[in-house]
Amino acid sequence: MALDRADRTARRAALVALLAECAPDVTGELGDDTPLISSGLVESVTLLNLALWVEEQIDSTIELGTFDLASEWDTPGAILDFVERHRVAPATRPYDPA
Amino acid sequence: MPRRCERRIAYYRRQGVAPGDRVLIHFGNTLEFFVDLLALWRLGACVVPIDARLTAFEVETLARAAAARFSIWREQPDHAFAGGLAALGLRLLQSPLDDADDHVKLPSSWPASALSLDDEALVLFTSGSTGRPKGVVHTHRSLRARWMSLRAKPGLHGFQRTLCLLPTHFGHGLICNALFPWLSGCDLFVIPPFRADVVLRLGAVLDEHGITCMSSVPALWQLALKTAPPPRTRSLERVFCGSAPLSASLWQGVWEWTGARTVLNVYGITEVGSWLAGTTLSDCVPEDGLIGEPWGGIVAVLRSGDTSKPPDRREPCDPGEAGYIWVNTPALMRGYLGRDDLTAQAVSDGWFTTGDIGVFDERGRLYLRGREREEINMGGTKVYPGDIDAVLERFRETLDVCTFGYDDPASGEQVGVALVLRATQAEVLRQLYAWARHHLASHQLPRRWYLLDAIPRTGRGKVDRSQVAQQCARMKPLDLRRLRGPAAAPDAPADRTARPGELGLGS
Repeated sequence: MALDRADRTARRAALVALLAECAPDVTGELGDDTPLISSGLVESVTLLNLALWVEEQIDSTIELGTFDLASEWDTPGAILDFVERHRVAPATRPYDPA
Repeated sequence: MPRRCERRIAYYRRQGVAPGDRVLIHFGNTLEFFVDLLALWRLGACVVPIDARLTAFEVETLARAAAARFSIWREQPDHAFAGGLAALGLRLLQSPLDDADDHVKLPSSWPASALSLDDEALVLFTSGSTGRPKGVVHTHRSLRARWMSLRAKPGLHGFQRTLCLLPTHFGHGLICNALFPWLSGCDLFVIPPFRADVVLRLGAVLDEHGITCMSSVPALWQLALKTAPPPRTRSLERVFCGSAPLSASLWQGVWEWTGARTVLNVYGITEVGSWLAGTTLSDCVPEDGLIGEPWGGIVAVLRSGDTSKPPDRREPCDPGEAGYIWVNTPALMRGYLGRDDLTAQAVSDGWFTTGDIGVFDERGRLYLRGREREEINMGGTKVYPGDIDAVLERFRETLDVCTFGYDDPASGEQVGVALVLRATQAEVLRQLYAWARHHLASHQLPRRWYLLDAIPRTGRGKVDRSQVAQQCARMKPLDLRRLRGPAAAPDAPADRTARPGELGLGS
């Protein structure tokens, strides 16, 4: 559990760094519940960068059209939850949109 | 709409708008923007659409260059904007709310329009918002020439319910995507630009409004094709895509996703009223760089791009030979606002040199092969390295700076910057970032920052941006999280008119 928390903290820091680079309008402290998509903070190009980052984290390609991206990725917390749900485990677990 | 427009004419006339006035409009992509535009044109004024993402510093720079008299806002501007514009002598107006001017008593008849075809209609700023702005001046005549040309080719069919999700402060979105169909009697649907949530439900938007035509940029389609469920009704007849290179595979993907009869790859330049050439999938096999046939006017590929003498049409490139793309069209701008020097560099004897390198094939189809002008194209949003250099070189600790584009898988290109600084302590870097944020709009703000000991230059002292980009690609950029912390010193200059080199933080 402690390792999971450390993973999440590190991944959160990486996500914040990505948003810092791709979305200059995302300023100040980024909360786990800060809306990114529904608020318009994240533009379409940034969302593509975010998709590439998530694919890197789960080590698998994502069929972006197979889930409701607007709600599942709307906040940093939701994005991290998504990554944790779909992350390839030590053995190989292919990405399953279901 | 006519009634609403009439009320707006009465309102702006009462406020003192007169023929020849240049008027900044600080919002776009709304019905009210178009009502204001028509009302101001009816009064003989020239409209200057402003990108709502610009900083107060940039807006002031543009207002000064335009010698604007009025500044129209949808909502009350904050103090930074209002104070700066008022200090320049502009009168700030708030565009009336839909029903707020219901009580306005309209005259029983209107005087004849003050409009002349050769009056200025639009000033579209394409670069220079941080220094010496480059404003493209279109007259009513040049705009009408573009719309007449578009009516002939590609024609008006399919435009009956057109969607505009491109920003209305630039030529592609305003002149071709929005005004061409709307002023030709078609229905226009406008939605905010750039928003990811709109792209995610693009198929539903198309279905909901029975959209028959839209234009866009490749970056939008990259996201839509991956994320948005396609439209169910397949109402789209024509899809235009421009402002950035459209790859053959993406072109095919757009056609399949939309189910549109025609997907056109278009080539446009603001200086000639945007769309000047294009082609559809049904007329060709998709190829990278393929633009197709010119739509009206003359498009030539010549061996010289030199505007110091009239272009020699006896020197056309042979088919397959790359050269400089020139355009001769009645839709040509009047010139760059107050910049005869720039106009002379771009226009010669009625010919406009686009700054693009192209080639015609044996069948007369145009291909783009590169560009000469310095710009970074982020999926259709263009920024100019010189604009960013101009801001960062005025930071107190800057010794040298070079802005460049780097490859980005999502947008094609993004903005990077290399700096040589006198001091590189964390606090100085935070001040530098705060300085950039104060002066640059968010889309202009470099995404990757590098510190160098020196900027490599050519023997003539000219910066080689591609060489700097290559050098930085081998380095690790600065950690932006650290740059974005609070700066101890104030982050805004008090003196907006100080000379370059005098401005600095904490000085």
